[in-house]
Amino acid sequence: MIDAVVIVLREVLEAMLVCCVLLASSYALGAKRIWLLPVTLFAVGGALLYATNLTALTDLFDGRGQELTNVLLLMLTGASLLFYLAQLPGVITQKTSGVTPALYASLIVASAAAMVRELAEIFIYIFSYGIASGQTAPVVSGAVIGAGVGVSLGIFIFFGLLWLGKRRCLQVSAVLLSLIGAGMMSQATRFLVQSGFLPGEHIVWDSSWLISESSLTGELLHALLGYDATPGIEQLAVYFASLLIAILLLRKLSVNQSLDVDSLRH
Amino acid sequence: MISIRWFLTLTLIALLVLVSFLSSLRGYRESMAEAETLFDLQLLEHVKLLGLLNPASFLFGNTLVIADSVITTPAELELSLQLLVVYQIFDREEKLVIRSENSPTENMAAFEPGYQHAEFNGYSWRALVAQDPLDGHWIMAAQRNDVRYRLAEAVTLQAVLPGVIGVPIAGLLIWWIVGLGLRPIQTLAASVRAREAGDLNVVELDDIPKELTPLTQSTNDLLTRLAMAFDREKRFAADAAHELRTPISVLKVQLHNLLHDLQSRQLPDAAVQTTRQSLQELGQGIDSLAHLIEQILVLNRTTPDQYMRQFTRINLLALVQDVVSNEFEQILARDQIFSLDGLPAFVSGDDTALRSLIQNLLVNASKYTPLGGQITITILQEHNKVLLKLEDSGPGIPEQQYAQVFDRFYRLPDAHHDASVTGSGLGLAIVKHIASMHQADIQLSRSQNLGGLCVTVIFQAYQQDNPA
Repeated sequence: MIDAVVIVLREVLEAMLVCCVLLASSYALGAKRIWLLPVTLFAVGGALLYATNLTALTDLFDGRGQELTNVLLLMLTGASLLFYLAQLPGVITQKTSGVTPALYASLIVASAAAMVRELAEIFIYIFSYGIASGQTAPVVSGAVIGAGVGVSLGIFIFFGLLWLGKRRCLQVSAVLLSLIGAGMMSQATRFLVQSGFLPGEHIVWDSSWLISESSLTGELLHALLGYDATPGIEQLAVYFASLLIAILLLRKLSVNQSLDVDSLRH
Repeated sequence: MISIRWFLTLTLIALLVLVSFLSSLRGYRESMAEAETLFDLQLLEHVKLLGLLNPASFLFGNTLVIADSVITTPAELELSLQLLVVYQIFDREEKLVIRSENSPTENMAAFEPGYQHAEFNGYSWRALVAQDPLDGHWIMAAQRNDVRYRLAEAVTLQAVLPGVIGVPIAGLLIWWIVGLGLRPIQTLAASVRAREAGDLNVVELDDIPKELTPLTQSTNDLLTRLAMAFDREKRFAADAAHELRTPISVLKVQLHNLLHDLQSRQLPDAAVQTTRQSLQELGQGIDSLAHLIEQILVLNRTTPDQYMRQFTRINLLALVQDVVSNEFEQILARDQIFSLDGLPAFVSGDDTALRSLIQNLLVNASKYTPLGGQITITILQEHNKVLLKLEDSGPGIPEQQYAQVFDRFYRLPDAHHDASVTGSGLGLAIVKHIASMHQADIQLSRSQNLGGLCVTVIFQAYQQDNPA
């Protein structure tokens, strides 16, 4: 049961972090909640599709299909997060009708892509380790506990961000989203290295003695910063490149925000 | 902003889930550790029991199978097989003396006293090894780790599961209880929302919670102040208009006297002529001042609350005829042709107010229609509506100014009418005010027949069961 708790909690926490920060940010912008509906539909549908076609998916590209799907989903999330950040300054300065369809689209794509991968992993785990191996009760109750704890933490993250007030909430969530986005990009690079599409010979450091990836701290840092105990040079390059883009976008945001603080206080 | 109900429900459920699930996890780990100890004790008891046997009295390879005679159901047998402790007994030279059915022929653990981890028969085992202090023979007993784990988990889950299942129920209850707690706010909001626009009485609710008392108090204070302010404004305008009537009457009398005096004095004709003209202009000024004051009085006398309750059944045709007969002098003076068309139609309303409405419309039409022009009033009944239509052959009003002409003190630019026409700019404001009190619509358009302005007032027809 503990294994189920840990595995599900890790997946749920990763997905909740993206979704709740995006939700808080969109709330501060005055977006409607309706975008959660397509996210739920896409996420659950996509995850079921992914989980039920796992074998076929794995066999694609000489058995590297699953890695490539993960890379695709991670990059989709990372890219749409950056796209969201790129639009923030424009939306904030536009005083009349704030949230544009493009912004809604980036919200939906980022959240749905993040959830598809995590949900699919949870489905596969529950099915193969629980139902198929006669361990339904412990695995399902472990999964419920893990998911419950993960969602609850997500709720606290959401209200914590809202509690900061509109302006601070937007700033903090923008910083968090750029970190998460960069983390996703570096994770995608890692998958590419693992499946042999990138060389990945140089491991820059090994900090597993300090923070193990499988420890709670490691998991949290992994979800938030894309922490990797043994990062390759390509991973670091992609990570910092994404972060740099995000910082450039955010710099524009902070300049605009100081001018348009009052426009948000409606 | 997110609703209080959602905030409370979500955070409370999240808190409940975190606390109960984390404590369940803690309980799970503790119970599993306890179960481990229990199974270890079971192994120890086995070893102690085996120590009581005298190995010399048994033959090699013999097994002890007594379970079959006690266990009857297959499920119990299955459980017994799972719980089965396998054992081996060796003599002091480490030669196998006796072993259980499913134990290997080699020693299953090292010859070291204490708990050990062992691997055989394709499973991992928890083994306990002991040496007899008297003759030095070895006793080994072992249990399958996976069986121990699964049994311990099955027991522990029974304690964890109710907590997991209970959380959704608790969530529903929290949603309901939070809603119950917030109901006074909804009641207060509903009672404020349900009021009519002019209702400025204080909010009175039973059992207002302590937290809402300051809000209710300040809302009531605000309403009281507002009612007083409205009252003061109304009284001021009414008093002012009333008080102004007397000096105006005095002015009129004095003017009359002056004109009379002028005739009786022996003055040059030219001087008399100039003075008479000035005095006549003064008279016109006083008349329009008097008219303005009358209009203000009408506007302030007709407030919705007072008049709605006094509505009676009124024959619109008779009322129009009455007003026309009063104003006919003016129409005749301007050589205008007037016609009235229609059948008796009944509306629910206030006689004085409706009289003022018709009079204002008629006087306006006569004023802005050139000498010798034409004015028509038509009364029509269509289903449950009564239409009062007043058309003239004057210059009309530009369409883009239809909305503004109802504003108080609004007057059209002189280009649209004869500049000599005087008016207060209140006439149509009064008409609009009275019409809205009677829930009637006013539409302005260009007259199809006469080419001037066409004003249509649409009333609800009088209905027996609905006097309002």
